[in-house]
Amino acid sequence: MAQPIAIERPEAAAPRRLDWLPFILPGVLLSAWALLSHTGHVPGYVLPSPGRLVLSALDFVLGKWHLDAYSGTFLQHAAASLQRVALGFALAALAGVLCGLLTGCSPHARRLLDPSVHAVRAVPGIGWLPIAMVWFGVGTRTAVFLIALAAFFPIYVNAALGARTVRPLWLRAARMLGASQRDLFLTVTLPAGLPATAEGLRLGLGVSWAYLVLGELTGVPDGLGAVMMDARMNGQVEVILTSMLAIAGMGRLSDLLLVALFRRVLPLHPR
Amino acid sequence: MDSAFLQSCHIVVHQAGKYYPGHGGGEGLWAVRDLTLCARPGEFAAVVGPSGCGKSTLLSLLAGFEQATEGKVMLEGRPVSGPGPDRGVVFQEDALFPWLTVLGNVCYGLHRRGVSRPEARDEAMRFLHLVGLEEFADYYPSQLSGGMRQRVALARVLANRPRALLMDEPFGALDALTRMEMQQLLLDVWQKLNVTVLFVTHDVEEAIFLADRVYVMTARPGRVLRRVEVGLPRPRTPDTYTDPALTRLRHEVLDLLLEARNPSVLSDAIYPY
Repeated sequence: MAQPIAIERPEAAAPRRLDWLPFILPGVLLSAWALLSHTGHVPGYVLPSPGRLVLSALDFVLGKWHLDAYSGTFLQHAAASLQRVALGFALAALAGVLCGLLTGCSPHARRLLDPSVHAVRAVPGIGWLPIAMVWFGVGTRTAVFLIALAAFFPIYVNAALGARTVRPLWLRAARMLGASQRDLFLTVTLPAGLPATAEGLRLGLGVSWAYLVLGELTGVPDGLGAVMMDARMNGQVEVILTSMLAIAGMGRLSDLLLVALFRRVLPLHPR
Repeated sequence: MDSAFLQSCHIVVHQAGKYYPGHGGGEGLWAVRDLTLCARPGEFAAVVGPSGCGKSTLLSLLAGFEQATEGKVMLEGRPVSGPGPDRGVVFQEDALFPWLTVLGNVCYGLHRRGVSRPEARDEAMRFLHLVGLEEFADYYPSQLSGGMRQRVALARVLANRPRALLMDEPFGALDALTRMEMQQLLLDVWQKLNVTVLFVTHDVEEAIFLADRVYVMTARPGRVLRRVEVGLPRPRTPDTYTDPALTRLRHEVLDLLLEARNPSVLSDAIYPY
């Protein structure tokens, strides 16, 4: 669940000391895992030992040991996945922000768009997989379609919310200062609705990564999701786990980048 | 009402009324009715009245946010049709744009008129200097105190060189000391710019201290009960507060306010000309 973006105050910085409490649980689980693997209680084809996992991960990226067919192919697959997420998210962001803001500030637009959007939204994203494959075949287009479709809704809903919560007083003040209808939208509604829209974009990005995996399960030639399915069929459990970790890492990194971008664009904006 | 008299008024409200229809077939109400007042060019006029008397509606009509149901609302002989920079409004609450800096806020009106960035910046800085905030140009409103924010609001409106300045209880949310500072600042700025001011407030002393004439409104539906001329010498200073003339005026206005709440008085309302 996305955390709200904190408002930075110059004097707020607390002294930096590492909080050890969160590390207890993972530490315990890691130890248990190592123990179970080492004693043979859990067979290697169900859960590889931590050591094997690390080795496999390194080989996946660096390709030095040629442990399996995926050796050294990490970058290529990660790039393919990233491209799909980027494209799908970009489409969803454009459509979602525009439609959402319009819906939020125009009752006519709302009556026009909202019912249809929510009707489509009633079908869970996963349910679109079969028809997407019929329309777009097996490939990148299906993945991008699913990502864009799923990410659109949180972006749209939050952008609409942002536009709706623009204070009428600001609109009055802007009109008094000589703003036209177009000015009102561009210079008041848009910036005022930005914090809520930003939250929607963060949610949309998270959803994008989730639907990436769905989209790639259909049998695309490359991508981390495809690697996961392929590795399952070949019994390469380490590769499955490595791919999962990679997706998680890339998802988290992209979220941090997005938040950093917002911090620069939305300074000290009270909600 | 003769046209010669009309010419001498900068702001005219003549027998104006504003009716709000009721919800779902219920009874509507007249916020103001038969409201008449006149402010001469460059004059400082204050409006006081009991709560709910329609002071804010009056301002809203003059600002052009709402249209009068009947009667005339005019500035410089022309009817008011919608909001615009010629009638600058300083609101009671914080109406600054939080996503813009202080400078950005003050430049807003200028940019809408197509003034170039460097020119607008210079103009804005000039007015920020006038209100004493030129050092805070790059700050955001959330970093400023209430008094400072109202100063920015004032600068933002003045930068567009309005013909009339409409103020809706602008200092109501400020503490006593800040309020006095702001009153002094407003008077200084008003004297320099020679703009007509209509100042709505519930603070009788503030109204007398600031204005040339005080309009006392009746309870809803609001109309003008009486106009009180404030003859206190200018420039007004903190010493003016101790002037016995101010105390006499305060009593006079307070008595009028008591009358204003009494319904029997309404039929005897005297036209303030």
